[in-house]
Amino acid sequence: MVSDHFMTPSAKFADILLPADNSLERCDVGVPWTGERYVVFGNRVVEPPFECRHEYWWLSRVAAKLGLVEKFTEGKTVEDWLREIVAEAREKDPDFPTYEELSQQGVYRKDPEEYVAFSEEIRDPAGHPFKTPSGKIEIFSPTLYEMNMPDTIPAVPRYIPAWEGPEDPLRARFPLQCIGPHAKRRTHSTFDETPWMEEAEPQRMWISTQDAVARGIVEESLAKVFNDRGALVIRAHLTQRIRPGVIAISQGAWYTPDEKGVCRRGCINVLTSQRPTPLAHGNAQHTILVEVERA
Amino acid sequence: MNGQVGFYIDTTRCINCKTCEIACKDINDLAVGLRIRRVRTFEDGEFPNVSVYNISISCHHCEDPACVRNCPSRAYTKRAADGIVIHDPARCIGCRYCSWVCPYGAPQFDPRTGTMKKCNLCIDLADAGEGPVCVGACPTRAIEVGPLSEIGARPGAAIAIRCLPPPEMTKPSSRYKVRPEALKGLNPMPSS
Repeated sequence: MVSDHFMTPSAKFADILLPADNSLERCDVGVPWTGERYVVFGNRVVEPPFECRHEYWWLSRVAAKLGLVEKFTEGKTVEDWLREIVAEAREKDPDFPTYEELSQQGVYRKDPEEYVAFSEEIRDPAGHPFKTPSGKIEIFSPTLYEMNMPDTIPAVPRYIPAWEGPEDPLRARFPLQCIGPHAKRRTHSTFDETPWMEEAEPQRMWISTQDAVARGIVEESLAKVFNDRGALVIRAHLTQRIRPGVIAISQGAWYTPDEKGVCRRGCINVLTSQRPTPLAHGNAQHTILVEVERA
Repeated sequence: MNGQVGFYIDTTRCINCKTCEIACKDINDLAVGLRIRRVRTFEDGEFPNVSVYNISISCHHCEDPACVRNCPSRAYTKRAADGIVIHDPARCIGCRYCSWVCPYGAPQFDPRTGTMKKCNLCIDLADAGEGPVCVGACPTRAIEVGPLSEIGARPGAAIAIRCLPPPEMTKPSSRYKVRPEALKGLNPMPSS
């Protein structure tokens, strides 16, 4: 089930595909990503065309089919929810504008406060212990020790060579490390479909000149990048700005497989592993070994 | 040209975000293929001792513009008051000769109209008291427009930088703030 604005790669897999309204077609409140002190308000400036709908509209109908509509909506419209959010904010901060003021102003901000990590714990250790079993900074962690996974989660910090790192024997077959930086012309996969953005910063692989020359790859030529998990084809940009032994393919390009499953757009996800990191169980998205050859 | 205006580009601030390119395309409603403002990146050295700088270029509103000199239908005019070089699409025959003689790639052919497009310093916005959109759009404020007499007199303002055509060709009215590596290995004048 996919609700989106464009026929994205995810949309192509959908059993059911719904057209979504976009941020100009709905009112909404936006909060910052990393705790800065502002709130933005987006006004609906145009009605959603045709049958494009806010997710709340169809999710409420799904809730109704499941007999949960009252619990889900609490009888409120989108605007009711937004007004409630603003009202709650005003209870905590008397300077917070009213709903009408916020939608007029578009933004409410306060000056940033100086933030120093653990300042309270340092200033007053007795009154503000660290969130560790001993309440102190721990060099040896009993919590990690009790997990009993010393090879991957040591109780005392030490260097552990990563899989698909410089020391992995897999380098005999896939000698280059592939990292996935963020391109300026996208936000993750958003705006990959925008032609002006592709013109401003086309999807390219950065490869050091010496690695390219050794493989017969020249500027703008097509290169195939592959490992045991998948393959993609992408044009090369030769540069001195990347370390020999490393290539970079910016993340977010839309998966565009040909009939052999090779991605023709340069979607780095065909090369990444789903192996989780030991403690956080996160995606190790730059831990990729590949080989590159002329396409 | 006492009143000549020009661009002052601070290459030490330019982060190659291309916002100026997109703002220019937006205000001029340009299709893909026309980049009448374009940011170019130049690198120097070998890993790990690499330096990079970015230059945002549109039209330099040159003091001796090759487009004005060479256009067969006299579609280009250099304004007396401020030296801005204006293209008149009504006179343009789409021969593209200007794109051959401009050292900087400023005039670009628009297949939708059959005529050339070039930066005109957003003179259409000047009446509304607004400046060129690239200036306002740049998030690091790397682009300014000002009298050449002022921007050219700023300490360190460079007219010739590596990888650009030698300024003796058309006497561009742009000046740059650069790091020293941008001044190495300047292009010589062509021999003919």
